[in-house]
Amino acid sequence: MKMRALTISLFLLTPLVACSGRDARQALGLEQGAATTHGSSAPPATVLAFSEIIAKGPELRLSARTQALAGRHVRMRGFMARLELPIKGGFYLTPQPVDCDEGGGGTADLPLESVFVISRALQDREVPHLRGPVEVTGTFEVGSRAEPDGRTTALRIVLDATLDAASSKTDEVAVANTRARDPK
Amino acid sequence: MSWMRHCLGTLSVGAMLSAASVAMAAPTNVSVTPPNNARFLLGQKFDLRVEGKGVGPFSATMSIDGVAQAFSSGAQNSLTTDGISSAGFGGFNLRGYSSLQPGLHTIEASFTDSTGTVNATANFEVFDVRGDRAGARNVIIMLGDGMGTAHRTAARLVRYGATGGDPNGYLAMDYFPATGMVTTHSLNSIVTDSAPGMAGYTTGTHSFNGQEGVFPAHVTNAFYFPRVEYMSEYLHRTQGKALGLVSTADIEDATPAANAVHTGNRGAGTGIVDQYLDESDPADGRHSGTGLKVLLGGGRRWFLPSTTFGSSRSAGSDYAQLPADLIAAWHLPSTAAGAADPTRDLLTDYQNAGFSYVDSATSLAAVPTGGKKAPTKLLGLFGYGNMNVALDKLAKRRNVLVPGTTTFAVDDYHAPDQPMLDEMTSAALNVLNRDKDGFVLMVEGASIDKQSHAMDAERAVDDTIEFDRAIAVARNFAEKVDRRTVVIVLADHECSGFSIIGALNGTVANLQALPPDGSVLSPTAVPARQAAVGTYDLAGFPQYSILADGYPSSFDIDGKLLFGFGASGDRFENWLTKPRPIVDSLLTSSIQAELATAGYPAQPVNRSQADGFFVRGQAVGAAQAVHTASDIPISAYAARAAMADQFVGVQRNTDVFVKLMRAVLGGY
Ligand SMILES: [Zn+2]
Repeated sequence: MKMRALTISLFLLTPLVACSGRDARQALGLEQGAATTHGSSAPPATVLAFSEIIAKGPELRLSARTQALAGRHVRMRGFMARLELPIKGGFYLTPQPVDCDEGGGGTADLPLESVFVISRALQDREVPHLRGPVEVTGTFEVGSRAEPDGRTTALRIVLDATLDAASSKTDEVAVANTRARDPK
Repeated sequence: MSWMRHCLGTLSVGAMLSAASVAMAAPTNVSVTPPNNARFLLGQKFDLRVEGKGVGPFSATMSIDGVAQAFSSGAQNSLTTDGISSAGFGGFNLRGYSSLQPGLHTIEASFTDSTGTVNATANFEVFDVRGDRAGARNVIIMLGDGMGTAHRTAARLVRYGATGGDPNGYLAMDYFPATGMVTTHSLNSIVTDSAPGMAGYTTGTHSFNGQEGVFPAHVTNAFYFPRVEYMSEYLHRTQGKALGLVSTADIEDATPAANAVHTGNRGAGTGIVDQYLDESDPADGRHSGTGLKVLLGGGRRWFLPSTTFGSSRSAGSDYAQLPADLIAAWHLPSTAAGAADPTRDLLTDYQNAGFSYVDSATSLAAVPTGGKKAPTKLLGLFGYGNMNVALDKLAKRRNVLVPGTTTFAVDDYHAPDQPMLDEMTSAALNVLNRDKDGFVLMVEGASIDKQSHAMDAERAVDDTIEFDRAIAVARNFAEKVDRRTVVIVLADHECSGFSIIGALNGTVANLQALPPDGSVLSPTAVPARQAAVGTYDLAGFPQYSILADGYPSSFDIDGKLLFGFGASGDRFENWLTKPRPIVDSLLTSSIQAELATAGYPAQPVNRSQADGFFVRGQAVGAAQAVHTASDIPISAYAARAAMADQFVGVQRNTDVFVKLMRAVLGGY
């Protein structure tokens, strides 16, 4: 099935997850059942694991690998943090599922390794929350930056625009398509 | 949470408006603050403001009891007025006002734009609570965030159990002699958040959700709002008392900040932690400021320059330079004027202001408690954001992983050695008790609320037990160390509609062996885990095993207590302790295996989506449980019984301020 002016593509993990997934899909103008693969025409990406972000040792600093990947095309897998105070145009990717309440500006429960994932296509909209693991591919940014809403981010991934010729402004969030790989 | 929406609402709360002009058009959104029917302690400072929206130039007048008042800022007949009003608004301020005349007072104001004039009036009351009795030297506020009646009952049942209709033991807070109920509404809603919830107790006035120590206004920076003086500021200015703030939350959070920081945005973390220091009266001049001497909690991320990894500082959450009339009228030093400075090295600035700094349970325990080396000011930051909760701190201390995990949560949050709240409370009292003028200490059990939001009952209950152990420390101080101390235990609001619905009807092994409920969605089908709830007689009297550290060894006992959430979001319930302080992880086993291979913590089968039964959120959908409008219990202790007895009965949240001030000023 062809992605049409695709903004976010979801692959649903299980029927129950689909409850929230369908809402997300509708919010994003996607047809039910739409799924995508992202490997064929996407540029090659380096896989970065959360466990590699911070350098080993007592001092808290970014690893050499993290710094070396700045500006490069990376792929990460994690979870979409659920925030009580939603953010527009992006979401936090975290090593474990995280629930942030209103405290601390809404971000006090994010682990330090959290990566802010930026969707240019959704810059004025909230990204609907997805349960379960998500995989993102895009350009990795390293270094402190003040976001328009007053947050500061240290690590970011700017999502790829898809290579769909029909749209030059489309991003990709592919939920890990594990069902296809299920051995049964 | 919806305070952001509320902040933008109309501000004329209760104020009476009338159009004085016959012109067709007139300014809109005309309001006067303080809001109608506000109450102030004799001499307590507050800012007055007249504002409105329209087409400039703007002008305004204001009188109190018929006596014309001059504004401290706001140029008459100008477009810019006070220079801090939001676009389209004009604003006129009288900063740092106070009255020494008890009774009811009337503010009459007018606001004029190029199209007409609108009048507004509001009343305020000044009360005098001075008396002949010996006043309390110290005030300790034990604030269990989100802690309702059921949280207290749950902590008692888990900690002590019950037999034959009677509890087998009681919490420290149960032994407080005077108990009452408190309403929790804010200025703009029956359901409050922590900012106006706490500020009601510390200012005696209501504020909008999301705002603390201020009255609502349309201004260009969250720190420009009209202020009302905190208990800490009043008592530092008039009696030289010190302030201590202790919390398991990010120390930026609303509950600690609503004792010391004036802001229209509880999330403006950079400015909040800056203001803690900048308005702490570091020179000890005692003309202004809070006298902050102890600050213990999480939130190290706000103290690191924005250029350092791990920092959350930003210009957007900071304060720009405060208005000159605010600085002058509140007698603040020029150093408190502030600046948008995300690269500030705040940790160093605190130390330069005389604070000793600790960052772990070990270094906190090593702080000298007597002699020349004992610090007079103490800063402790034990995590980057919120501190971890009791259940996860204890797992690391006991060196026993929470079932279903392969790592300790405290390690994942790069804060492996965090103190318990009773240890923090002891350390705070040791420092504050060295101050001969007495102190105000606020201790917050923050994650009772946070874990109730997350519908993680076990973590919420363990944090209530942790909070109760801190209460025991405060009670001991008030009974044995300095008997001129009043201690109150209360919450800012209830969270999640927490309730004890019964107990597991059977063993945990049987529970784990039940067929999956994940796809049982038909209303006519009974999920196995719903049928496992023992109600009424089947609940019996669960008994937990308590370790030497004072906490249960496990929450997953046969016949365990089961909890419900009346203000819930959607959830999958399997009745077992969650391996991580997280929302349902909903992972199929194939994904778990894949994540484990990729180096992710293995997700337990018992949190998989196929396991728990789906409970549709009653208050919200796929989101967190929310605060409720329920009254909360308050318990008070003082060696002088009359001081504590004030809190018996049903009272407004702002009455708590009045009663605490009566205790201090001898009018109880
Ligand atoms: Zn809350």
